[in-house]
Amino acid sequence: MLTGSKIVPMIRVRGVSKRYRVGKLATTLKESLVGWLSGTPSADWLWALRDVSLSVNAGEAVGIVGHNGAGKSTFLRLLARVSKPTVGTIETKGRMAALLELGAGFHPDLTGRENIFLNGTLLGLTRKEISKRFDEIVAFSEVERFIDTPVKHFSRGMTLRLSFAIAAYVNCDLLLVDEVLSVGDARFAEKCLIRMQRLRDQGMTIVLTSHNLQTVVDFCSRAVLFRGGSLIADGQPEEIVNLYSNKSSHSEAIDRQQALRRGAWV
Amino acid sequence: MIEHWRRLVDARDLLYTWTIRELKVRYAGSLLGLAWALLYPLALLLVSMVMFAWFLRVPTAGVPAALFLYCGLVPWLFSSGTIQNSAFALFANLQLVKNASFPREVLPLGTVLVGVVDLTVSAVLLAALVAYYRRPVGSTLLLVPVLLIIQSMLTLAICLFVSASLVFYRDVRFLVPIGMQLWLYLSPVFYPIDLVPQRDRFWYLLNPFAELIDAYRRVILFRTWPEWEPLAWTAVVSVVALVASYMHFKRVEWEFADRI
Repeated sequence: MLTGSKIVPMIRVRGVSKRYRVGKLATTLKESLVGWLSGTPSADWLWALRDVSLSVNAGEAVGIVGHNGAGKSTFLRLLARVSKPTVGTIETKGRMAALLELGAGFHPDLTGRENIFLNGTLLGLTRKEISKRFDEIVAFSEVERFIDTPVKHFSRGMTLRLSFAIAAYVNCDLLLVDEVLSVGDARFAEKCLIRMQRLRDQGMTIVLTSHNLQTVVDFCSRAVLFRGGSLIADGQPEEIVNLYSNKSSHSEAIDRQQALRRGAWV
Repeated sequence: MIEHWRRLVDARDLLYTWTIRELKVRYAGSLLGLAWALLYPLALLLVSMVMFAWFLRVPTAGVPAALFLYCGLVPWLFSSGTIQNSAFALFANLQLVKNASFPREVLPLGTVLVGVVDLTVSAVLLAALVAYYRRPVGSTLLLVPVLLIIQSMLTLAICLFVSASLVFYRDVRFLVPIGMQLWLYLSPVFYPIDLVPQRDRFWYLLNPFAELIDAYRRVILFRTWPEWEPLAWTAVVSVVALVASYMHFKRVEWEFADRI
């Protein structure tokens, strides 16, 4: 299916697994000493991701679906380089912006303006670049009147809008969005979606997780399904969403998918 | 190492913004604001005057006690204040560490830069005291920037180590104040280095801070050059400590986001 345009891989994930410690963590010297002396491990391990491989090309919009705890957010965190895989490698190309949690970089005592600069530099922008986009960010977030008010006086919706607006104007090559569109009112979610469609049409690569399956179908060019830390299906959004929501024929469909994938690899 | 450095240089705007944020947040809501950067060392000076000049009559080699004590307090407060604040640089911002990708050393580095701002403010008072007591100064002042660089490297080395350690071991929160207290009395802040018996001097000067404080006094108050051998030792210790601490920091920084 070569269309003549060059295919540029933006994300290449190979055999990635991620292990977390669960249970009681040794957070004091005494606990880790006791654990070490008695030879008992201080915590159990949980594999949040198992052997995930995925390749995303430039211009693709990939939706990740799956139940809570399926590993979607962990996967995005690894892509965003917040955390490192236990096994496997991740390569990404170009400038990346990640929106993992709304308002994570905001400080309540600082004004909206100050927080835009803080958040923007956290996303890798220079202060000059932020100044250039400042008006657009403010206009998009619709908080003009409060831009010099400490964000502790912002409503949750305003914080959300500002937070999204900054990421939406980073001008990156790769945008990672975790479960953001399902928060806030419908009108703003719609606005975010339109903005993201525009970015996608300009050639930006986008990876998002969403519980809103309609968003995935409407917006994404491709979807993947996570279950129990594994990537179990990869394909057209409609197909994947059906697979995910259609519980009765769940396992059957998955078998078919996996057979397909095996077939594709052999 | 070069790769780490390049990423840090790329993040210089973040470092700047973060430092401004730390300054603003620190003084936000306090009535006196940045004046505290002056009032705090001043208050400590008064307390130490009562203790060491009035009660204990520590010899000050002919220099007014206020000047002598303050000249030790200013550099000491820079390091001890910065180290105690930086302990929480990562711990207090784990939410950020968990959700954004940036060179983590920006956070403790920002604390050190805030310390530099405080140091500048308290140094103005030192200059005022020197002028007030009509203390002559000379070309030895040229060494002050060199001493500041050595001290900053040593301080940053400790800050990086302490901030990373607190993420893994909450005990550090209690160990740091104890350690700083001990270190204060092992350094010639409230007394001249001459009070240390000659036969113990070698061990005493293994503490890189001892030589630093003494050197500041020599070049600012006495117009004499410091003893070069212990100063060279201090410089070597600082550089080695900084490199080792930074490498350790970069090795464990990936675990910060997973350890909450």
